This record gives sequence, structure tokens and C-alpha cells, in this order.
Amino acid sequence: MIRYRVIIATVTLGVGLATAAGVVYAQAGSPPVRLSPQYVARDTSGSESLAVQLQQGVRNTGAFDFTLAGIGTWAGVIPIRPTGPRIIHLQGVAANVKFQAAGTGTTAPATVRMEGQIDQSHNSAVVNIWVTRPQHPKPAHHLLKTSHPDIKKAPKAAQKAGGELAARNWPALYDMAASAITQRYTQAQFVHAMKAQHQPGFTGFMLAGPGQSRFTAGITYFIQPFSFTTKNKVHGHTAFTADMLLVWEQSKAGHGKGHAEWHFAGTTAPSP
Amino acid sequence: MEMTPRPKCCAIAALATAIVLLGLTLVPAGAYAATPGMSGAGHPAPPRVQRRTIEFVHGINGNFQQFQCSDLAGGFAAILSQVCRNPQSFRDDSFAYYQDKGFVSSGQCNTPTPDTMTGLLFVDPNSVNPGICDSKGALAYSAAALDKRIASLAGPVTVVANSMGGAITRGWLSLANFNHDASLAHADSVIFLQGAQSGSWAAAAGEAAAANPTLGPILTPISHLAGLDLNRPGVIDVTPLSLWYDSVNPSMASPGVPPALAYYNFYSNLVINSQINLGFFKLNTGSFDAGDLVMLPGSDNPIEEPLLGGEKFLPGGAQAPNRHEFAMDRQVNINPVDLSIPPLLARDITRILASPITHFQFPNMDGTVDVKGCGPGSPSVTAASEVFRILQNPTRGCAS
Repeated sequence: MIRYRVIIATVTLGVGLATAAGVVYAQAGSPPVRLSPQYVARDTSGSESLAVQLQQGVRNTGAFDFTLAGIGTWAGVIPIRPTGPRIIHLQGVAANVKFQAAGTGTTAPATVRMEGQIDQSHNSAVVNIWVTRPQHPKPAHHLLKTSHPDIKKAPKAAQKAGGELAARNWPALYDMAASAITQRYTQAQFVHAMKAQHQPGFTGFMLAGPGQSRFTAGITYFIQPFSFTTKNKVHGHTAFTADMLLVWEQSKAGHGKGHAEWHFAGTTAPSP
Repeated sequence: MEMTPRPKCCAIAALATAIVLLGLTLVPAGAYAATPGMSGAGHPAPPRVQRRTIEFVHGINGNFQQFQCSDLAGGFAAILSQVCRNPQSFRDDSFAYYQDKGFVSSGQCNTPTPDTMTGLLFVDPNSVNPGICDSKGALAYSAAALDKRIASLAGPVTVVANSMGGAITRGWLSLANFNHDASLAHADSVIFLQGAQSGSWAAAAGEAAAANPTLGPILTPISHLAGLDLNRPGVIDVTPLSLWYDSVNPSMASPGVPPALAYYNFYSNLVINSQINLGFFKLNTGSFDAGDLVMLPGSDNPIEEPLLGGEKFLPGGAQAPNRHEFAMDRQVNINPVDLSIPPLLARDITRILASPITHFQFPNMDGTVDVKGCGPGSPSVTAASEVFRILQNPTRGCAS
């Protein structure tokens, strides 16, 4: 179940790293300025992400990281301009750009140009990005485009995923699995990994109340509480609850860029 | 990756200079009973013990007053208390930053005028302010002051540096190496404890980390917890790829790492394993080395500047009797699903932060964290014990 009890985080800080969380001072002695988290936009394919500081008037205004999976990350500062309530336009040539290839530990100069906008109210972004990198001086174009999640479809997807999980229909569950799973496992590997484990089976899978969506790190999630029952010779029937996580991202089936649906990303540990 | 070659001529010249200035014979500087003599009566005189100064350079937000034998409340007491218990052999000297918190007295900040002999080190010209004592001042001023401080000390010196103190120490090394400063004839060894060798990703406000679906939810709150004031000069300096690091880690003919010194580096590998639940079933979906949370491991090569910084440092790229890296390893398993549920996220962050090798805990856990020692037999010892063992003979601390 979704548990919103408060957990007190008691943290002992070492050598003085104890400034109030989330508060940044424009200059020592002056009133504090609260720094907003970076805005993250992610293409529904999951292969392109852009993290950028949209807050005006702070040192790192416009600082960004643009990552292409398997290629690398470009970092720099892009001019930003508000064009409406919570709408920011990114336009121009980025300054101080460095590129770090994936899997390496050092950086090299590169160029980045952007043209597009981010609508923070609707968590949507359409940004054209042109990048160069060492040995690739001709600008390569990338279109980072988010898609609007269809929340109404999420419970149905959760019901289906729960059914496949209860039935241990691993190939079918893999077919609706999130990229965090499918990028690491083939279907055969996934099925093998599941069949190698001996866990109690469960019956009576049911959605337990309404789920809710969250937007974090450029990804829209849907958290769906559910319940089920196990049966064994010692304890008889035992009821459990847990939460299922669905993620809104592009299908693997090649419906074209931008077509997304809900994918199964796992569950919390069941609790009786 | 290409490593910077060590110029042998310079190493030998620097070593020779050190020998002349210190009046030492060719024995390790740490063998502090070096020069036996004769008394006037013809009896052997007691060995002249040359006390080694341990120049401790604290981390960001630290107070130099709290790393002295009279007050070890600042951290690393497991190391410094051993130093303080051996006054015949060691002298503890706690270094004061420019704008150090320790300059506050009766509520008044009385930071001294900065040392502006900063050479090629980057420094923001607008960063002088006598009214600020927050231990986040421009690093170049502290590096220049450290250079002068070491040059003024008698006897051999080992610099022990933590966190931002590591970045200041790298600045001193670069400055002294470029100018052939006298400080290099006094100091023969450096020990880094989670030093900011190429910067902290948290100082960059975590742009890249924020975009990582698994790590973003964990690291972004930790970035805020670290409380790095992103507009202060010292924090700007320890941002990866900053102008400071461009000036300290120069890929030019004169590298910023003097070849004659001994270097020992302690860094953290907190590996976060991603393990998804599927009901009762589990599936591993990868691991990430989060370093000490405030700094990632980064690169051994002193002239490399990774996008997210790091705390690894091994000049020459190979372990040697006078150069060694000590990895402090821990692992923690996380279910990424939990990270999207606030109470479970808070629980996991608390669990991760409790690891003794994090940047937050290590200063008070150095007496309990184990490392693989570099002495004979490579025993498993605490970080504090290993540091103190090295201090006995720091120019050959890892000789077998």
C-alpha cells in the first residue's frame, strides 16, 4: 500500500556539512535563496534526457546536461527565456560545453545549439538539439519530445501486469516490462532468472484502491496498490499488500517515436 | 589513458634539495631518530628525534580550532588523537583557511588579509571579504597560505587533507611545483582522506545526477543535504570542470603534482545495487558506484577532469612504496520502485547515509572503517590505523 507515514531521517553529519537542506545563499550574509531542482525532460524512448536549471538569477541558471544513451553527455550553459507562466524557451548556442563519452572519465570541448520550449505546468518539452563531439564536427540533430501520459489507462495496465505476475507468465510480463528491465535482459534471460527462483505462488490478485501518478527525473510513474493471497501447508492463507510501479514510456514494438504506453517496472516488497 | 610522465631529473633534484635543507641522511624522513651523535663525555648521545609535523587541512565548513590536540571535535579524532598522544614524534598543526570558521571570536569574524601570491591558480578577484568566516572562501588564497605555512615549519611535514582541504592541497602542490617553493623541501608526503581531487558533483547542483532515473531521486536530496552554498567562491571552485580545476590539474608541461613527494589517497566506493521486486521475486538491474555520495570515485589520473568530478588520485597510475590508493568499499541494495514512494525513498536515503564510508559519516567513523592495508601481508586494518602506520615512515609507507 502507499504508506505516507512520516519517517524521521536522523542523519549525523560529518565535518560541518550541515547547512539547512535545500537553502542556497546568493551571497554569504544575504537572505537565503531557495534553489529549485533541475527540470528533467526525457524522450519517451528513454534514450535522450535533458536536465536543466530553469531558475532565474542563480549562478547555474541555464546549466544543463544532455545525455544520449550509449553515446555520452554534453554539459554547458544554454540561454533561457520565460515566454509564459512556467513556460521557458531554450534558444541559442550553449557556452562552456564539454562532452564526456559514455564509459570514459574525461571531457573534451564540443558544441551544442538548442531551439525549443519546456512547459513545466504540463511536464512537456519539445526541444531541437544540435550537437558536435570529437571526431564528429558536423552537428547532429536530435529531437527531444515528451508525450502526455494517459493516466486513465494505467489501472488496466496494472491489472494485466498483476495477472501475468500471479500466473507466472514471464514472457507476457516481459512484453510489458519497462526499459529498466528490457535494456538489461533479453526475454530468454528474464524468463530464466525468474524460473530459477523458488517463491510462493499467489492467488486473488486485486487492485487495492486508486493509484496515483508522479513525475520524477523526467519520467511519469503510476503507483498502484494491490493485494493478493498466498497459501502454504504451514501458515494456510496469508494476505499481502504491495505497490506496483508502472512507467510511461515508448513501446518496444516499433510503433514509431513518441508512441508510449504504461510499462511494468516492478513492485515493492510485499508485506502481510 | 595517457598518464603524465614523472620527470626523473626533477624528482631527484627536489629530493636532493630536501635532503640538504632538512639535514637528513638518505633514510626515510619518517625515521625520525635519524642522526645519532656523540655526547661531549664520549658517550653515545640519545638519538635526535626530529618531530614530524602533521599539517591537517580540514574540509568545507570546518573550523580549524577543532582539529587541534586541545579540541578534536571536528572529526578524524581516531587519527589525530594518536598523533597527539605521541608529542615526541609528532606535532599536530591545524591549518586555517582564508575565511575559516575558526576566525570567529565573540561573534565577530576576524579573518586575516588573504595571501594573494596565488601564481597561476584561478581566483575570483571579487572574493576578498574580511567579514565572512564560513570556510568556503576562494581556494587559491588558502593554497597560497598553506604554501607559506609549510615553508615556515621545522622538520619534515606530512599534509593530511580532507574533502575541500584536498582541493586546497592540490592547489598548494601546483603552486609550489610551478614556483619551486621552499615548502616542497619541508613536506615529503601527502595523505588525502576523501579529497576533492577533481570536484564534487553536488557542487554542480547535480544536473547530470538529477536525470538518472534510479540515482536522481537519491542524489538530489543528498545534494541539498550537503548544503553547498552554490554562490560561494570555494564551492564554485570545487565544481567539476571549474576554472580552479583547470588551473590545478593542468595538462601542460609542468604538471601540478610534484614528483618527489609520497602520496596516499583514501576514497570511497559505495556501490548501490538496483534490485527490483516482482512480488516475491527479485531481479538485479545494475549497480552504480556512488563514491562517498558527495564525491564520485572519478579518475586516478591527476590531469583528467571527469564531468562529475571525483576523489581518486594516483600519480603515475601504479601502486608503489610511496604511492597508494586505498578503496573503502561498501554495498547497499535498493529497490528502484521504492524510490517513487516518498516514505520509502526517505527510508532508503537514511539507510544509504548511515554507511560509515559516506562523506557525512567518515570523519567520525575513520576508526571503524576497514581498508586493505599496504604494509607487509596487506592486512585488513582500520583507515585510522593505516594512516597512523604510514605516518611512521611516510616516504615509504607501502614498502614491503
